[in-house]
Amino acid sequence: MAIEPITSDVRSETSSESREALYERVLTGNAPAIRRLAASYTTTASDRDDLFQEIAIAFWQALPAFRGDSSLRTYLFRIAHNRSLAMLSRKRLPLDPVDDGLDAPDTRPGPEEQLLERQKHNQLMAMIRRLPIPYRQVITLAFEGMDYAEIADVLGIEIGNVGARLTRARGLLRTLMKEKKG
Amino acid sequence: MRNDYQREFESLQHSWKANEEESSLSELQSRVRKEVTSRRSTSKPARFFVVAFLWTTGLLLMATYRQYLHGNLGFLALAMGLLVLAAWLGTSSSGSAPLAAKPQEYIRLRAENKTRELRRTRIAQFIVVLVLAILLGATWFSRKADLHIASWQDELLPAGVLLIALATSAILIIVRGSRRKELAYLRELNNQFESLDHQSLPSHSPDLHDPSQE
Repeated sequence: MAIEPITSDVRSETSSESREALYERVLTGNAPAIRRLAASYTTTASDRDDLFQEIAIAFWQALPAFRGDSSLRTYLFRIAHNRSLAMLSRKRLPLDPVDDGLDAPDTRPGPEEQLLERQKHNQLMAMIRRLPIPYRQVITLAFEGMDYAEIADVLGIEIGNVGARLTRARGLLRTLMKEKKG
Repeated sequence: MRNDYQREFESLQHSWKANEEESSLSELQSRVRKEVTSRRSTSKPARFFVVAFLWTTGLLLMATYRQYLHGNLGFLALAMGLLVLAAWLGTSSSGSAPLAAKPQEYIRLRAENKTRELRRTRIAQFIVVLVLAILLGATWFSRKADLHIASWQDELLPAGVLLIALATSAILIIVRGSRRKELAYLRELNNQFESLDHQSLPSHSPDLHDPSQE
């Protein structure tokens, strides 16, 4: 369930909402997306969950500084990307990981269709992790259904650059998929 | 052609959003809630404990052996003070880059902070080396001049401060190494962004898909 972006013109409505309620509403509404974003920066489920926790705490701490010049969703995603970059640099994880998970079979039980979906998801995630960070950021935000303006706002780049980076990212993904099939 | 790209994008987007594990997500969220509640009181940084430990150890040493110190108390207190200052300076953080900054800007600010921290660690290392040199020099001089070495306690305190100086030095070497590696990593990360800025990227291509334009 995606929440509606909270734009600056409705900020006055949110100002009466307590910090706790605002945090709960925005984070809960975007939790699946934030966890997917965390997964794109990490390679294990425990690292992903730790990163999710760091992002959530950082969002809580940064909430009082929110000035309403963007939507809260944009604010959350920007913090999520910055927190992920900080985690990468702190742990010095490889910037272009050769992900063993690319061909790892998903052994969790479930109907065949579900299993296939999970495998596709895992393969896509593994390929995304092999993209350079700037491309990874753009494509994951696009997959979350953000438009160019919103992506540009999260990443602080020109709208034209969003399109260009997205084209490159998709090109690289296509190449990786061909490599996998070939 | 555009429809093919659109279909391809939608298929990838579908795969991206698959694999939701609702149960583990709600568990994770409740864990986060507990963590947020527990962090409302500000946590003391690790360096506070390092410096407090050094300071307390030094004071205890001096208090225990003060009767054997003769005229060395002031000198050793100064050495301890300098060591504490070095430990504080060398492990201090330049604060965190604003979390709501643009990601590329965030990396740049983080790298700048790391550079400042590294500089401070170098200064701290210099102070520790200076203290070590003075302590060793004074020990050598007192032995040579045969000054007031009346009992084993006369040597124990300077040896204790010397040990603390060596421990501080070891901590600073580890901190400096870690900061250097992180700085190199941040520079590499920044290069990824900057190399993109210098590439001639196509501004339009058939597979550009902006949901807002539909």
